[in-house]
Amino acid sequence: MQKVVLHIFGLALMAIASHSAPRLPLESYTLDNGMRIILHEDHSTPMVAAVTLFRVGSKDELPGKTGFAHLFEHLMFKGSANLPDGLMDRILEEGGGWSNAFTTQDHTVYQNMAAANFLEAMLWMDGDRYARLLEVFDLSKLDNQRDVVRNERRQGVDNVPYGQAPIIAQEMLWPKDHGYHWDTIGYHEDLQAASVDDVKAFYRKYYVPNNATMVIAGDFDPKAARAWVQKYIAWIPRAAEPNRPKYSRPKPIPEEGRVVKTDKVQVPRVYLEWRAPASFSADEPALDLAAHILARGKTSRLYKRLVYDDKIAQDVQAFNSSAEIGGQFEIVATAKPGVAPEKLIAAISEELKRFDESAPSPAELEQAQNSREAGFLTGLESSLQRAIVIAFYDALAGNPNYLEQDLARYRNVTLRDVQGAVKNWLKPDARIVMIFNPEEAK
Amino acid sequence: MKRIFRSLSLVLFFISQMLAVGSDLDWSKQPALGAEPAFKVPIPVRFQLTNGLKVLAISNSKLPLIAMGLVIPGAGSATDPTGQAGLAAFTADLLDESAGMLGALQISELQDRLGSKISAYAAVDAAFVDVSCLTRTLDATLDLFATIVTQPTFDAGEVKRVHNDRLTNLKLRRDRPREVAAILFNEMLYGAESGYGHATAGYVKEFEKLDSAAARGFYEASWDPAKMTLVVAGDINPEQLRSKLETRLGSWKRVAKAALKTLPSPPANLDTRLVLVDRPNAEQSDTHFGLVGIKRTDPKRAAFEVAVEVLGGGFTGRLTQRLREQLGYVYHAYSSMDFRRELGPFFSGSCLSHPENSRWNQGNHRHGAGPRREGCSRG
Repeated sequence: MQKVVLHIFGLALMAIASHSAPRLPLESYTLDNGMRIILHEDHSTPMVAAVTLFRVGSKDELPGKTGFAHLFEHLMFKGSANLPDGLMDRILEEGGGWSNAFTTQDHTVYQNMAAANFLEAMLWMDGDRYARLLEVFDLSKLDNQRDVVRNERRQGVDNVPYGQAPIIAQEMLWPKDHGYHWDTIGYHEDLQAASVDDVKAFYRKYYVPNNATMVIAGDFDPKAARAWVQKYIAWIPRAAEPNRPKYSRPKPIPEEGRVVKTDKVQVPRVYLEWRAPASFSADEPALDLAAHILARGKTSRLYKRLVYDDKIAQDVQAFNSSAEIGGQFEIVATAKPGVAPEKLIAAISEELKRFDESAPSPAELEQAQNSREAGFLTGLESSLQRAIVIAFYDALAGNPNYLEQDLARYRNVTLRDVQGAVKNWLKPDARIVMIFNPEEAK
Repeated sequence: MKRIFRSLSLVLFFISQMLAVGSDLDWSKQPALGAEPAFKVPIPVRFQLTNGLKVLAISNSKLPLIAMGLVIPGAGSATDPTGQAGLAAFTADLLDESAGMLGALQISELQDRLGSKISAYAAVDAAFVDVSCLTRTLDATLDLFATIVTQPTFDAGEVKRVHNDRLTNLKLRRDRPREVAAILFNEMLYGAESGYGHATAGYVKEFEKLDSAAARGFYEASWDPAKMTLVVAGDINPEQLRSKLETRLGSWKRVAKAALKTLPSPPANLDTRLVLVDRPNAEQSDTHFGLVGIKRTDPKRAAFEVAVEVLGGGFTGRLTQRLREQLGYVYHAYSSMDFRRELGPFFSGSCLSHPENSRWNQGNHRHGAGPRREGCSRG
């Protein structure tokens, strides 16, 4: 039996030694109106995806109007000059597909997916709503989607155990005048305050072709796709570059910030939060891998200490989330019944301090690199997901062909890089600590 | 000549596309759809290992990845023994905690080093083991997968730790209203003592009594390779795969045998019942609304699937159209039919904000009757 174990470990080591990067064949160009177009052919299934990324997110909102970028995203499905409300969903769902979108702090991404013969129809619909939304827009549409979005907030935040944590974390990590201070979902009172004039101004300012990247991915003829893009999208007039809110680098957090809250829960949960590097900046891969080393898998440092050995936590997780002008690193641990949250905070702090004394081991780094790469590649299985990744490469890395470089920047991370990133970014006096206690403990 | 004609047609097509641009277009007309593309359903290569384990293999080398799914019929929560609710799920969860000479930490570390994922879990009719790996780590992943499924040791220390984690999770379940609604719905529909009516994860009082011996007993009785099917898809060569699987799984024999437990039939007459769980000051109410549906082998299954889609599928589903797009009462409303070996549950669900609950009930009833009264229309 020992032989079997050694055999498995031996193969694991061999596996680490050989790397091969998949390639994403694509062609990209810029329309005269400034919209970036990227074509990625993949004929493995007769489906096609058209993804459009607009460079506008919640950080572009104004104070008192938080949640607006996402609320606006909903309105893009409520009809335009030649596209009655609901027709887009009917056309695409009849084609075995669907239409959806998501909004982040920096971007809004629209996704159409359907059988390959629907590509022209998709571009016709996108051309109409990207240029002529306001012709049929009215208050009743805004009121309807305002209700929907407020229910989305209740479902995803207000009625979820510990659901306020992400919102409080952003409020504490970023100054009031910074665009990351509020969550993308927004505050109820701000959503209530959104007006028809706000919708019109937002659309005219940000929904302009020179503020967008479109990726077409899947089973299509590139010549036909280019012709249809020319026909339905290229005519949309270029507009002024959006004059978006500018944010200067915030002053460093001077000392640990603490907040204690209660919720309808039975056990405490602690959140440790730091500011982190921006997307595609030098320290991002090292901090991503640090999150794996800390809390991915049973042998990760925090899981093994808090959950497996000491049995003081029910679960522990670590995430590094990078965005355009900054990021957020968080460690979240749920206490076992009867365990005080301070005990979790102390154990997490000790484990972080270990990085000061020594770099992670080569085995820890290899595990993190392999595990991260496998997860990333799995995420590229569908042509839609590839389209989204390519759109982000274009918008954030400035190069839609960034895949190989992206994989390489994680493979090239050294032990010292991880140690340095943890030391520089996860400082004990630059963190926010949130404790959620059961309401009974008031 | 034919080829020249085709080229000419293409050129004319592109010229016509280029000429009619933007504001010159008649935008009111939806462009005609081209010919529906042919979809070639991938045909799996089928073979059986010497112990009867069935394999379906589909080759697709687009990415250097392989996914596998092992289906173990009769090892789901429907076969939990009386008084041991949660045993099937507990058993599946324990497989990757100790196997062969490996402990939980080694198994976890190996997966991370390989970039592989192996997870075992129980649903209602069956247990499943999902595997994903990179092409370059297939052999080592198969070694680990075979060790986990064929040689679980149910090590007492690891079992005790997992037992405690799962027990805590059961105690914390009442913090999660959606889960509470789903569990109560099944209990009301089938009876809490039936195979389909009890919670797959179990209940605190019954779960407290489960231990290593109970899990081992369930594994030996229910994890029968002759009844299993392994589906493999991705960057593989089916012939090479066959040999790799035969070496690792072909000699796997079940230790003991036990017939599948017969499920109690669902009640013939169901009165309308309303169960309310009070959660003071909750922002929303999570609802489950439904009835006993059909078996997955029922000849009407396709019609049922279409009806479920019409009612609550996608954004065009009637529930979403009315409750969300017209009334703005909800963010999400859906319907679902779980097609099972026996009569599975049909339900629609949503999260409703106060004070609209009463109005929602009217909406839901009207639309529940819709497809039967009006038929389906593509318009």
